[in-house]
Amino acid sequence: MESLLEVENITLGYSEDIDILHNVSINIAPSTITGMIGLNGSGKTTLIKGIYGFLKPKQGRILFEGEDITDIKPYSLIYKGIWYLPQDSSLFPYLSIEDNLYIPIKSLQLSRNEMKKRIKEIFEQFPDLGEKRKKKAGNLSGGQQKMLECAMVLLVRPKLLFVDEPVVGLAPKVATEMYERIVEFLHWGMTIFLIDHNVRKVIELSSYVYVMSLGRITSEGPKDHFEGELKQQVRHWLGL
Amino acid sequence: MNTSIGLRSYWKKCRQVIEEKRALDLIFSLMSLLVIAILPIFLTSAYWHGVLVVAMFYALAAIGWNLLGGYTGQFSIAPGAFCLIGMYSSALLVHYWDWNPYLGIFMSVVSTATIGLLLGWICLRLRGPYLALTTIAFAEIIRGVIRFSYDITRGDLGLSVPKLYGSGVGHLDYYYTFLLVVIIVQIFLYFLIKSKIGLYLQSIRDDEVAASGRGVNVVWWKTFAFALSSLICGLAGGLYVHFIGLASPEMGLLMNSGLIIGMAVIGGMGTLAGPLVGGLILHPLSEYVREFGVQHMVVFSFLIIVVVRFWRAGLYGSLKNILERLIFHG
Repeated sequence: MESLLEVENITLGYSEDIDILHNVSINIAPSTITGMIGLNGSGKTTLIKGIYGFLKPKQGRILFEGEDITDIKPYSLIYKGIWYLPQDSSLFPYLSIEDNLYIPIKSLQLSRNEMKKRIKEIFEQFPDLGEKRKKKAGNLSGGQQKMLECAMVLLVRPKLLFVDEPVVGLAPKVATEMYERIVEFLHWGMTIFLIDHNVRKVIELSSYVYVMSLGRITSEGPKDHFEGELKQQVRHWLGL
Repeated sequence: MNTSIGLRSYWKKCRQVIEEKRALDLIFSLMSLLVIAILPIFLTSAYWHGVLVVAMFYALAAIGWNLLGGYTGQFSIAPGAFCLIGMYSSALLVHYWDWNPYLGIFMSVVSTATIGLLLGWICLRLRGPYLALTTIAFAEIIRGVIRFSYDITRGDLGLSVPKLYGSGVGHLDYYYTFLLVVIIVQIFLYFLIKSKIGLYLQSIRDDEVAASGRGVNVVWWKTFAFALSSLICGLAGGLYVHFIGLASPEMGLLMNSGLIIGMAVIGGMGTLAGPLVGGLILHPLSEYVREFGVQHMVVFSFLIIVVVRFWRAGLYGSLKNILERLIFHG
């Protein structure tokens, strides 16, 4: 299988003596949604943190487009075309909506005209944000903050996007909009790695699914492997 | 009727430009500096001119600290130490090697920027109380080294240095020198804060981890903020030592760092004009209170409590919020 990102036998943890992930390997194929499901505390977010450079793996390596990015600094991933939509807000609450958008785009060192063009397009797509562009991001509602995070993704246009629990705490209407946005990202040519509690939704959206339990990949396969009576299957995969 | 419509559309355009260029802070700063420029017309005594020079010194140091504490969120408690380093860098060169005071001040800037860079590097992974304690320890080491290197620095006796404009020159020349330096620093900081660098520094203040994930090289920009903030404090110290004509380790007392930080907090952290307002209101006020025999630090400390309790954004910060609501949001 052709891979955009390959994680090979990663072992890592938050402290020297305790490992959270044990020999985890995953492949993310380009222009697809790859999903991951697992219980709370199974190590899904830790895996993203490891790939993103916030945690250093004790063993194993991470390849992006064939290049080893295992020890890369998080701030330089934007240049490689990797972006992270975390579970918690990653906005800067005391900065305006506009400034929040300018921070990543200024890192990309685009021309002034290109920057303005992209920002204009974003405000056309998200008119609510456009109207409030000078307001502080911290004053937005939870749903609006999530939309601002989505706006950032469209602004940066990464090759690979990590989406971690995108609908936690959101109203059902906003959650639906959020899933629509994820599909839209795919249509923009992005590759997506989706982590979510909503097993049905992950399987519906993803073309390949990983199941993680206690820091290990316990099952994996294309989406048709996961159709049928989900409840029993999930209980089995998760070792319940 | 037409005039009224014309004025209204002109005001609307002005508002848009001010909002777009984030110029409210700069306009208020420049207006404050204009008031400062004409203040000596009303305060004619040499004593008050001296007080105003010292207020300008504190304001400049508070502006320097504000870049690090207010804009970057790194709570250093060493601005007084950097003023001290700035003072002694120039004082030693001028005293022992007869350097020109201007060159001495230049070296104050160079030395404080270098030491600030080093301290920034040491403090990279420290936050909150750990950072504060480390900077306190650093400040005490600097003051201790200067105090106890008696053979070189003459310890608590202090080191006498020539004044910038020689003897017999009134305080007003120093006052306008400080004013010019503050104007240059404020305009420079306005453009810096408005630029990509300013956004990066503020993103580090809001959330270091998120900033790092958004393409901000947190290590580099934090170190940069430390160096630039120290440089401005060093510049203030270098100028000040050639105003009072004496370098003394007293400047490195924690109380002085507290004063500088207090001025930025009371004026408005994370704003351009806040530290300026803080320095220029509080120092003259504390001097005024001193005339009545009241401990000025008591009044100062009381003010900090009141401002932090009721106007967390500081005096100018709160005013700025009101102005923004009135001007930009009707």
